[in-house]
Amino acid sequence: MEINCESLEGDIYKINLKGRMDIIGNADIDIKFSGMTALPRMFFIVDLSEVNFIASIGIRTLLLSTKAIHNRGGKIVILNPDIHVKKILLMAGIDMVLPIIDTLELAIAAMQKNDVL
Amino acid sequence: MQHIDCFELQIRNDLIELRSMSEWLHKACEKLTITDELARDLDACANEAVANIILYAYEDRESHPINMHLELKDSSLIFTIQDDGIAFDPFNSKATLSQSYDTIGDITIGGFGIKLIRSLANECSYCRSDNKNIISLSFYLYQASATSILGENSPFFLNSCHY
Repeated sequence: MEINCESLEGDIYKINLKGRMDIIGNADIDIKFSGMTALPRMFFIVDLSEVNFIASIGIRTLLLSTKAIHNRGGKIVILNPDIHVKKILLMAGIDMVLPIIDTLELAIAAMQKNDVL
Repeated sequence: MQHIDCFELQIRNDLIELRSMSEWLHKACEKLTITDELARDLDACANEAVANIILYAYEDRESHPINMHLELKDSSLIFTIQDDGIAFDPFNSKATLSQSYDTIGDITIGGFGIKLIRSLANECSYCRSDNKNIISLSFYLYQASATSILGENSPFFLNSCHY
């Protein structure tokens, strides 16, 4: 898997993931993802548009960082996942704590609202 | 009983084999003209089930075969996995994926794999026979309209139209 991070206005970090987030792909990005979502950064948009598969290990990676970010008062959202990846995320119910947003504009707007998780 | 075609694969108990398993599944589904969505559901379930076997079923460090069988039978896609690991019924738990998380603290991280299988497959079964674990997953082809799940040129769809 590939991972990179870009800085947006408003101290928002957009993390772009690409590839297959299975047990093999996840091992490529797990530590980097945890590092990118660590302090002092607070606001994250995780772009999953180029992730074509997610396994439970990938969900685990997303949730572990989400927990840490929420615990320090930060925000994180998922941006524009592939249709099947979205199906898996919805099935897992994690959209209840990790919002799934279709466009970058809406994701940035969500970062600036008080009601986003 | 209607039997169109079947595919078999043997892999070793090594996580690196999961990628070739997924390629095999997608090629088999393509030959059976199974829709992409169902093929991806199957891939997701197979990854969870076989990763679980590779990670937890063996008490030694030896190489073990894991055998897989995929077939289209009647109105279902049936995927069977057989391994010679320790006896374990992954479906013993009644757990299903929750849809009622309110806060991140409500989520127990872990156990998603089996829950995912139970949510994606229409039927899940386990048996122990001849010192082997046998997991069988069934996916109904007619959950929605037949043509939305099978392509128009599916041999299954064409045959089933005769009845």
